Amino acid sequence: MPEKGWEDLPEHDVGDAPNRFDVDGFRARLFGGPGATLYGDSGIPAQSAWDSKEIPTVGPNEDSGYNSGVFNSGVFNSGVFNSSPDLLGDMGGGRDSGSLVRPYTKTGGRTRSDYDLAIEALVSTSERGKAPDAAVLPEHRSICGLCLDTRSVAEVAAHLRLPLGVAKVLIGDMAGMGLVLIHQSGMVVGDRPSIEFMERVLSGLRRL
Amino acid sequence: MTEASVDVDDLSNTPNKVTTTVAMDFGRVSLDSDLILYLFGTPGQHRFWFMWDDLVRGAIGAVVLVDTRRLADAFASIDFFEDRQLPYVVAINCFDRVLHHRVDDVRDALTIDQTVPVVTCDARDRESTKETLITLVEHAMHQRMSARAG
Repeated sequence: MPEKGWEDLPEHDVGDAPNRFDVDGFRARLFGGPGATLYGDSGIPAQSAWDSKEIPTVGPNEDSGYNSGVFNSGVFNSGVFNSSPDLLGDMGGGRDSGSLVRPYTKTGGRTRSDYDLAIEALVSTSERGKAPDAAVLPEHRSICGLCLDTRSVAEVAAHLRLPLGVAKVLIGDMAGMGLVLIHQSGMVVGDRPSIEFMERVLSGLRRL
Repeated sequence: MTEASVDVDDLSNTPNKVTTTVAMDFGRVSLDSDLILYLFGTPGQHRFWFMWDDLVRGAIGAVVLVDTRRLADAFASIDFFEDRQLPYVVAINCFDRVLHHRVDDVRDALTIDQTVPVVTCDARDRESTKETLITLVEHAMHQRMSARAG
């Protein structure tokens, strides 16, 4: 331990995480995960002044923590789309994929959006959102980029590998800032699709 | 939904899927210029159930994809959809068209109402998946119309 010269982190020296003391690696993984490039600049946002002493507390072997968070934190993040098959049924999967930051960190801990966003609500980048430098946060920038083509909230969450709840909060924030437009379907919550609608779906399916 | 990714990637234009459903996946099928079908797949494991209420909201119906080696896993999913009164069909997963159990035996084992369609489905196969979805939509429409008539 002494030869490593990290006296300020004595009690966390587990030595089983190769990148633990590699600051560059940490930064990459902080906003990392397989979809890291979607976040653009992997720089640490200004509002989160990460103290290096906290690094071990978000260590990759903390999989038990993923289960104990506010409802479902980490569930989606454990590799929604590209987790390898051997992770099925194993929540420990969180250690291999995903960012080191707990999902709701990106929302400042908020789990609810001001908007009641349905998962199928469509999101498109507004003219304002298309302006360069309109979005400051990397997540906002990613969403502005993604939603140049109109996409559903569910898709945004999936593409960015964010839990649905986090995506809803971020998109709600962006709507408030005028960066994106939200197109809710006309359907009232709890509505069942009409017969006419289902007929259209049926004939559409048959034509496939 | 023991392996509830109704594997839609053959239908949607999402290549490169080499994966399994850990949290949720979805497919998007354009049925018409202004009509897009979304398919959401969630795993059956209980820890993901918090998502199901969101998913059934406004949904046409559900496909409970069962693995006959783990039939019991399907009980809770079936209960869930019955409780929410969401139309559902049961699809017995049969890879490569090999069925290890008689459809009626599966129906009995799951104690499913006679009105609920039980079909076989190879979720990796485009046509098979399409047929299953057609069965589901037909069933949902039928159920709605009988409810209206009754």
